[in-house]
Amino acid sequence: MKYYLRIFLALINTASKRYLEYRWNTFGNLVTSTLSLILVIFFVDIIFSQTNNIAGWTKPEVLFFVGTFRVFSSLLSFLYLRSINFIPKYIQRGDLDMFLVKPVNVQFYVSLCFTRVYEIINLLPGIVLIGYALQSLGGVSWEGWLLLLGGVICGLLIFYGLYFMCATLAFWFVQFNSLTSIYFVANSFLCFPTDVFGKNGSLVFTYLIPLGFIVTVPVRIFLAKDPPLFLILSVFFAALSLWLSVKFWNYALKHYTSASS
Amino acid sequence: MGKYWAYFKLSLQTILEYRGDMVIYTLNNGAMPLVGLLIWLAAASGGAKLAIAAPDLIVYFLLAAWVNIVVFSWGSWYVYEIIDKGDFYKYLIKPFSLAWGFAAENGAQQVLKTVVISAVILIIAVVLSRSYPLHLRVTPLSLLLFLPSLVMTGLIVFYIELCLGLTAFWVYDIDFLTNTYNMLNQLLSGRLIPLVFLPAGLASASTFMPFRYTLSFPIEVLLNKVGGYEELLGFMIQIIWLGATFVLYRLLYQQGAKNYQGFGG
Repeated sequence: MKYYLRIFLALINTASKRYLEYRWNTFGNLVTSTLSLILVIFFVDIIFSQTNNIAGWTKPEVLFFVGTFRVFSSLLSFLYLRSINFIPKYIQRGDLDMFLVKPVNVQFYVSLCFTRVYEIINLLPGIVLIGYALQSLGGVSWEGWLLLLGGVICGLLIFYGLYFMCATLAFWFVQFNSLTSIYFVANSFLCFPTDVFGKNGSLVFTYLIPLGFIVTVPVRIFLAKDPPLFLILSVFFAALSLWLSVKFWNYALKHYTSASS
Repeated sequence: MGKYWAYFKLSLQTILEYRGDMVIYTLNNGAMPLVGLLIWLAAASGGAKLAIAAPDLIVYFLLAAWVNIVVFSWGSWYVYEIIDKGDFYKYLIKPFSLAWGFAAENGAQQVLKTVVISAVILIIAVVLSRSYPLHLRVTPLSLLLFLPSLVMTGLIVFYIELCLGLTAFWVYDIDFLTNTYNMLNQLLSGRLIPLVFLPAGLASASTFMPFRYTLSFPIEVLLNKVGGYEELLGFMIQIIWLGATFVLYRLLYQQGAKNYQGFGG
């Protein structure tokens, strides 16, 4: 465990140096992230100028959801998004050979080799929005915060497993350039509570494709819309998603034929 | 022209070879307007008195998803990669236009995407028509005016995307510019919010901004939501934006080509 923690810290260290070289990019990303948050607030404002609630969610609740979603998406961008996006290219070009010979778990390495350190800064606008929404929602107990934190961590693991399995498909596709588009499609359905997709849609996105457990359920638990016991389901889906990703990756590795000479 | 036609056919064959990618790209382009539709339907079913009735909202967003795909362009990334990798020199020494070459490749993708999204939208419309009385209020004149407006919309999107990509001559990373443009476009083009829902001041300002002419305007024309003076003004502004984006593309291309320093061994 210590060995992997040391590798992870070394990867973060390398990534920090890379991004410090392009400081204006980091600043640009913070500006984009803040601007995007302002536009989302504007969007929410326009919707709630026409109604008092959407699928049972009030405006402060939706703002809290959006803030939490921002925190979640910053964390996944910081941790593994960029690294996973590169997997199809490693397989297509035969670069995976390089990772296979390293004295480290390959799935661990390809998942975390390109952390995006500057995304940590992008947590800030999300946290500010959560704080703003809480002014209307009132005080929350520390248990609530712990449940939310646990839910978001489970969400990160669920999304990791699902997205990593999508990337693993590249072992069978000669060309797989659309992985990031899968992320954007998922993102479109994650950025609003799954309840807005109607009863059937909500069921599909909660139990069939557990996208609902990524942000909606943790926020619902926090807002006491769902019982805390739902977190057990989150843990179950996180464990299942992680386990499946490992199994699928190991199975896929057996089908890997290097593309290099 | 023959070489671009050949390139179009070659691109079509490549895309047909990698059909999975194309379906995912189509879903990506259609997702946002469909999510927008679901959000507004949820608001309507929650008792909101919207300026547009639910059936008309459905028609609007389904058309938005369709137009969004028909006019879609990924020119910024195409041009960025060419400049970033140092491949731009090819366009300086070969009689092959960057814009026309991309138009052929992008066009091939759009033809197939349009077929896929048309089928998807038809299925969604049939499913939703069981719960909502859907009517496409189109007249022969609105259809006739819709076509040139759609073509101009496609060209405006095409040139804006190329301009964003050409900024790679001067900046290391175009993410900041493309993300900012995409975010503003998401809100002000009618993708997520029909422009009639915008606050009055912003709705008026949107008439003069380019975003409306990258999606909403042709739909407004087709559905007879604009007419008379407003429609004429809309067409004039769309022509002006088309001219402006084309001139900007030419300027950026010429200046960029002068500054370009290729690398390689």
